[in-house]
Amino acid sequence: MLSFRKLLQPKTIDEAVAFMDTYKNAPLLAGGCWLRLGQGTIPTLIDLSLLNLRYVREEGIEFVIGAMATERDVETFPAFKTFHNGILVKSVASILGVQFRNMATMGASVASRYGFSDMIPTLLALKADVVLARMGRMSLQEYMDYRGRDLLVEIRIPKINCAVAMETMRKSASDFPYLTGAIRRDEDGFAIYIGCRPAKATYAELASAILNEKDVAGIDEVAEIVGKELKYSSNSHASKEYRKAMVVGMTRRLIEEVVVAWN
Amino acid sequence: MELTLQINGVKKKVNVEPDEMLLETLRNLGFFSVRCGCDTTNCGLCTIWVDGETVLSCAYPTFRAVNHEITTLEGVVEEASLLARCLASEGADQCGYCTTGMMMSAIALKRENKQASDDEIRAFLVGNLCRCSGYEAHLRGIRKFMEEA
Repeated sequence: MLSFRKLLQPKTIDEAVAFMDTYKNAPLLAGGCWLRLGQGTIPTLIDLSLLNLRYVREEGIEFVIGAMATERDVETFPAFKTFHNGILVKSVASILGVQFRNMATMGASVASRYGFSDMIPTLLALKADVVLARMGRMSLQEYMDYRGRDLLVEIRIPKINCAVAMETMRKSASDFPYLTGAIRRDEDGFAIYIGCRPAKATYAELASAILNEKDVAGIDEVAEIVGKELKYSSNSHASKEYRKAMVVGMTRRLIEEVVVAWN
Repeated sequence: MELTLQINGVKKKVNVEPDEMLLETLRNLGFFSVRCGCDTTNCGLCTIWVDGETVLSCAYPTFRAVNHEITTLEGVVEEASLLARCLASEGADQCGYCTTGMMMSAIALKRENKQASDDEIRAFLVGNLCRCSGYEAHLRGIRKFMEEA
């Protein structure tokens, strides 16, 4: 288990940022679901549970998800049941059990940029932004490579005119996925995102460009390119070769689904 | 840390380490329905409610429960007794080790969605593992429980 000796509980974002400056190596505690899987002792931990960041709401042209909103909050938020055919609900509903989703927070899932994250490819496809305490608002795409020590405050999802399809592949229900993917179709064309390779989700630039050039006629070529363009590796859940083989079929299904939804 | 917790409607003062989890705190207080299984947020044996939501007490820091209502199976005896009869009548008792956590989930589901279909029951209880693999009997027992007034 991951132990900690000193606990800090900021009550405002400013106070949290001040603690982050003072205790430069202190980790932030959001959902805390992985505390039991870690090892070692942390001298100081900054707990985020008193920052009032547990909310999901609709604000005009976008949805706003507070960093401490749980995956279950997203799953049960009424407007998400119909938003892009329930894509956000689908992106979290297969994550372990209800008890886990009542604890796991959206902020931690995004801020940790876990490769196995079920929902990051979907959020990328939805053109989500994140709001950070120091850096302010930036696209999730940009945030995926941002390395500054910052506090994720909320996730903002625009209500853009697009179709999005997503899929996660796991060997058994409630297990970690071994492959995740999402695709967007909008006025600008297609964009393909693949995660759990097992590295963090990323944009398949070449495959997306070819799909935009050839449309559905290029589906087989695009699916093969997704398997070659991105880097895949092995871990305890799947081998590199298995992922490369499975991503071809997954990409094909995603394209077929998003084309139907867009039309 | 000295904390005051509200457990099953009763306030209790506890002295815990900063990194102590509710599973340990509750068992130290004598709430033995809360069981330790995997201790790594996977099996659902340690399921309790915090403010009516099912959570895994093995990974829920005790300090976070301050100002929240904690409920264990000891706090829902009436519903638990009915569910226990339903499970027993369907042969779903088996070794019984997973039963208390599963009951906390099943009672929470009934409160949230009394009309839950079999698929909804399965989806809600996917986080409660039974190593005897008695899932079909559990499903029958829980369905019977849902149908009870």
